[in-house]
Amino acid sequence: MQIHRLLILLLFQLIHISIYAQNINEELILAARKSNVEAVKALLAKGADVNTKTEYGATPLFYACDRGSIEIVKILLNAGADVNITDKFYNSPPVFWAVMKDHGAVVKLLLEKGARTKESVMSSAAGQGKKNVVKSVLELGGFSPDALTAYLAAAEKNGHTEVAEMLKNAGAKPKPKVEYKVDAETLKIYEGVYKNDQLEFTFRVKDGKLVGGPAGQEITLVPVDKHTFEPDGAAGVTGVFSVEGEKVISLTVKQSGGQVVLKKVEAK
Amino acid sequence: MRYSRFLSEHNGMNPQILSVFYALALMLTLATPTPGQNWPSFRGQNASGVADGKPTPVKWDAEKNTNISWKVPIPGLAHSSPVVWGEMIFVTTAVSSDPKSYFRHGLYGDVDSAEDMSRHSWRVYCLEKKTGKVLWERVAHEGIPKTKRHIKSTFANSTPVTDGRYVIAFFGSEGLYCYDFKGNLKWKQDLGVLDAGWFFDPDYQWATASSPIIYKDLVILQCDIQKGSFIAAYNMKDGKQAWRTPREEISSWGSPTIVEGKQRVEVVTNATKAVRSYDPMTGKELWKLIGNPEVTATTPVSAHDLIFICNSYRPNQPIYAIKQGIATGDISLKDGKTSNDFVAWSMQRGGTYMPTPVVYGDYLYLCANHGVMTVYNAKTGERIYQQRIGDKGGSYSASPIAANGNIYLSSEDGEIFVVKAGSKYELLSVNPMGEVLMATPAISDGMVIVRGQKHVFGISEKPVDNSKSGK
Repeated sequence: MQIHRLLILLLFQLIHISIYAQNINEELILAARKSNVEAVKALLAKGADVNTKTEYGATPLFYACDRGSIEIVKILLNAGADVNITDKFYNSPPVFWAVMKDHGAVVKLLLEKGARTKESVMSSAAGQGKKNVVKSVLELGGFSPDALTAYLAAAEKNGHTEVAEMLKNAGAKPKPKVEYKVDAETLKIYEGVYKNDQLEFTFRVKDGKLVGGPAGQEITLVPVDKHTFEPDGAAGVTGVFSVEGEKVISLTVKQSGGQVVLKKVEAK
Repeated sequence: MRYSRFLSEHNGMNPQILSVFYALALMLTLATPTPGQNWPSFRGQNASGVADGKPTPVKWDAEKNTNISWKVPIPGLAHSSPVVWGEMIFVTTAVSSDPKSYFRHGLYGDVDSAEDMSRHSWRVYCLEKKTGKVLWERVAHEGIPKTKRHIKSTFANSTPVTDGRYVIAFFGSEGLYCYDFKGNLKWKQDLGVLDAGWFFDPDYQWATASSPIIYKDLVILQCDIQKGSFIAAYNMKDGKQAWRTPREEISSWGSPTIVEGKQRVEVVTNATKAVRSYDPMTGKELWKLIGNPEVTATTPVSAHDLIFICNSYRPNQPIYAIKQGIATGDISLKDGKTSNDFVAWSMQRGGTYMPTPVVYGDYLYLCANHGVMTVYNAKTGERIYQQRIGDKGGSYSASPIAANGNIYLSSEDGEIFVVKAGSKYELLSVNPMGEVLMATPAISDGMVIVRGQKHVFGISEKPVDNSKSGK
């Protein structure tokens, strides 16, 4: 009987500890959301898990980054926050939440603490015209002239003149616009449907240009070389058609270091 | 009695007999439907979005005042749609004391709340359908908004609803209001703070948008919020709660729909965790279907003994066609299946985010936020065609509606496209409105009633007497 009683007591203790841990972890996320520095410190001191997650996989660092609270970001990083963790809904790391809100100092700190990668951050920030982020990340240095020129192209394409000037001052060289010509017969071979599990693009030749994209969209693809195209108006995105012999096999869409492959669907 | 005395004095009849005749005449008047084609709620009767039977304008130009019967300025910001009963139109608005208050239209994915938390005035307007003249205007509530709104949203997103006796206006956290047709406030209900917003981060408040509906003598509200979601019914006569059913739901923005099937009447709701159906008289849940994305904003529609649900957000863009009247319990599809005993057909891609589809004839017409129309066979799900509306890009929030063989599609950029209904795309006209369009128009007696950002327009091919215009 005594053993049973002890087991029940132990079970109650475990439940109590579990509820306590859950509560202080939720409080830590709330404190990060509300930019409450003292509460964050106190909850970490009480043993709250710095990498506790919401049901969508967001940790306190996501909220601190979104709010631009550099003091809380520092506290969380010093307490062991995972700087490269991604949430499970948008599949994005904390640094991109800071980029979205143009919190330059926070982005710089995260990159210094190992956030990946400075190139993808710059590509995203230049294309979106995030002045503070571009300024702060340029201070970190280490970008090749070619990389800076690519960011410049992204900024100019979207009309972010202030960011473009920053990039030029950092060494970006505006490329003279040379339009590569692909004859209509070659363009014809790219016509058709390309798909993978998630995406489906359709392309056709219209008025001597390759146009198409996701369902119902008619984006013009501007040739960069015989098999490589850039969607008009979409900065930093390229599409490369893989050709075997005279047959197009697939399309690889590249953006910010990531890529997806869509296989060409054979016409029936 | 004065009326019967008047008649007796002029006809020499017994006043008592006359008063009986008068009472009978009054009863007949009350029992007879008001002349005119009603559009009593969001997207009309049972959210169908269809108003057939009268020639309806195809070409107009609000910028050149062509075929515009009247144009009336309405202050404030509102995405709520006009509703019509007989010769009366009702619209709602929220007027900020900040003259710089605005919403940002267009295609973008920002989650930000608007900054304007200044004092607001929530109002109901009654207009005369023939002339647009403002018959009455009432201030339902004044104060600081209890939550923020999305930068693309307003504080008057919910379309009012009427049963021909009363008009119900719902302003989310600012309450539920019932007026009679003369503008007398009959009752109001404070439902507390209804905080709807981003699932990922509840500090981003977006405000509510679900519109009330009426079934028999009940006003039914779907309130899906960050915590404590519910569906509830309130008595039309006094506003007292008739029933309330908790919902395990996160925020959603679609409106409930009454589905009057052959076997039963049900209230169907669209939301993230599940599509659900309820008994409208008791609030008892009848069935649920799991498989929606994380943000839902469209309203269920029914036709051909099916209930259609469309959504588009991460991780899926489903279209479900659910059989009316027979489902019970959990009718969710098993992995990889597209149909079962209760789901006639479905697909996990192709659904729409903001505009609710319309079923017209044999076809289901969908309008995507970026202005691509896709048409399906409503009974089978077979895709008939897909077309970028007017060969243009653009942003669409308003739902498509249909009348007289045509589909009407309103773009946020201020154009209404009229497309011939049927198996082939045929653009009939592009009609400039001269201002941003977010609300779904109403159609009544061949008049298209459009709520723009600044005005309400009455559009008919034969303009009525403009000397009586409310402009």
